[in-house]
Amino acid sequence: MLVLLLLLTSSLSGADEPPIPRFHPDTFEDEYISDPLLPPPPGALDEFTIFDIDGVVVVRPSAKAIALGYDQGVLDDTVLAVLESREGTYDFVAVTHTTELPYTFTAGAFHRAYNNAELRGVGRVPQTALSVDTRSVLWLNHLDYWTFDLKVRDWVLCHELSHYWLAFAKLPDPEHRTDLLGRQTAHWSYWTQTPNSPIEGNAWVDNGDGTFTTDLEVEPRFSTLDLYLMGLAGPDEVEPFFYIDDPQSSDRTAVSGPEHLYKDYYDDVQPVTVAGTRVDVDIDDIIAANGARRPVVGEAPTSFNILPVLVLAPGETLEEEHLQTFADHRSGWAQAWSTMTGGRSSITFDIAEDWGPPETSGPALVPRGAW
Amino acid sequence: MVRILILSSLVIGGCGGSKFDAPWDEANALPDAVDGTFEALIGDRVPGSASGTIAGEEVQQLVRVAVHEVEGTWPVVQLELMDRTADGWRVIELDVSQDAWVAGSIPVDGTAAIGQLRDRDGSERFLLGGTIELTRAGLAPGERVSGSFSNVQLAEVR
Repeated sequence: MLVLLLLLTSSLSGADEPPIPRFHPDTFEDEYISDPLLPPPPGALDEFTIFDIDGVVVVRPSAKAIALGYDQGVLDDTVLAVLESREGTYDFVAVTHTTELPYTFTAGAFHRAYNNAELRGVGRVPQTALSVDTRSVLWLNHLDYWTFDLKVRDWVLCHELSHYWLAFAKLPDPEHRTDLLGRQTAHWSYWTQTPNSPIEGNAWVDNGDGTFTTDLEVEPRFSTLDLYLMGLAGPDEVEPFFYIDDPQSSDRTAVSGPEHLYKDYYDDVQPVTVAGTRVDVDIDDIIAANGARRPVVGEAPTSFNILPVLVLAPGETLEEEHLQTFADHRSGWAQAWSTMTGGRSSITFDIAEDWGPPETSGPALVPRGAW
Repeated sequence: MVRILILSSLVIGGCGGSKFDAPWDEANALPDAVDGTFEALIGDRVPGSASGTIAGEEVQQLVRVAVHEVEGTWPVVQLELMDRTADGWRVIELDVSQDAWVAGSIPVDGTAAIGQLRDRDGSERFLLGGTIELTRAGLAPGERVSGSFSNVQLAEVR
């Protein structure tokens, strides 16, 4: 419930201007608190204990490392520390905590992008962080945050991961350039027709009389436009869609959360009907405004390996239950990603090498008292 | 390996007394020391947590505790604090006679306890001097171990 409230509440507010981050990544967080007067976080790579177990990278920060809270600087340091001297390469890094730490984030989860320079035609500015050898980090809160509702857990993973590609696509008309976009101009607008996409919008049905109604029963999945922008579909597969211009609503805006997320939590949730003007969009509009998507489908990667990172609290001892819960989450996330992409993409959480502590067969020395 | 040399010499020399020289008896004391705190479960496959300093440098570490019957006769509690760095693992090992493994102060004097620092480059130094303050002295698998150690001096292996 907390997750839903955070997602939905935060979706009503705009993003604050972020501080200048260390690696200049884009962070698609709904909002977060920062105080420019605070000194930079004291995070340093030697402030983390790291070891691998059961296919998970376990990180324990020192109390000093999170003295000012687990903020974006500490998150960056966590990513750097786990990647340092690791021989394998990872498309993404997913960070989950065993317990709630004093985060400075207020979103339930977020995507922080480091490297996307190979992408063209998706509507976002290419960026590179040479010091970080991965595309992005997904910050996925703590283990128990997701256990109350597995649908939300899976929806959020798909939402955050898809931020690598989505949703930034513009329209060619300068006066309506960002009409498809909502919150942070990084999610589809509430008024954009999608099949209840993980990256938002709503499954709007045109009633044919100048009104439109949300279809809450459409199972969430990525749209064909989403798949095209993700390199998982060709331009010829993109189905025409529409958005609602000049919507007549007193309580919904372009940044409102998608309606289908509410229906499992409130008995009285009814489809929303709104009057407005239908504006049709097709793939030609998307290409005209954003350029052709590159790499093209067939050349773009479809499977992605994510480095799973579990962050302990300072001094906390890892428990078997943590590992089992995280394994359950990863399994659910992988299945959800496959389902939401219509089986066109897969994610794995495999560690290419083992950073387990060195094994010993017995004590190095025998004190005299034991002779 | 120091371990092999020491155990071999003990086996050859026999056991049951302290009249034999130990390799650390001739070690040269170095100016640096280690200290820290630790908490773990005996024999747990998931490492516990530890932190402290090595020659003044703060380190965050894993800790593993096991009880060994060395050569079938000498019960020793092996406490390993492991620090993963970009260049490899650095390990503080404190080996304590099971007879001395009770809550309270344990001198790292070569009789009740002795230690070794294995560095990233493979070098080894003895840890001799100072004390271990044991607050929980688990021995059976799954029992909790916690405590601290301070001013345990580094000594050069000759």
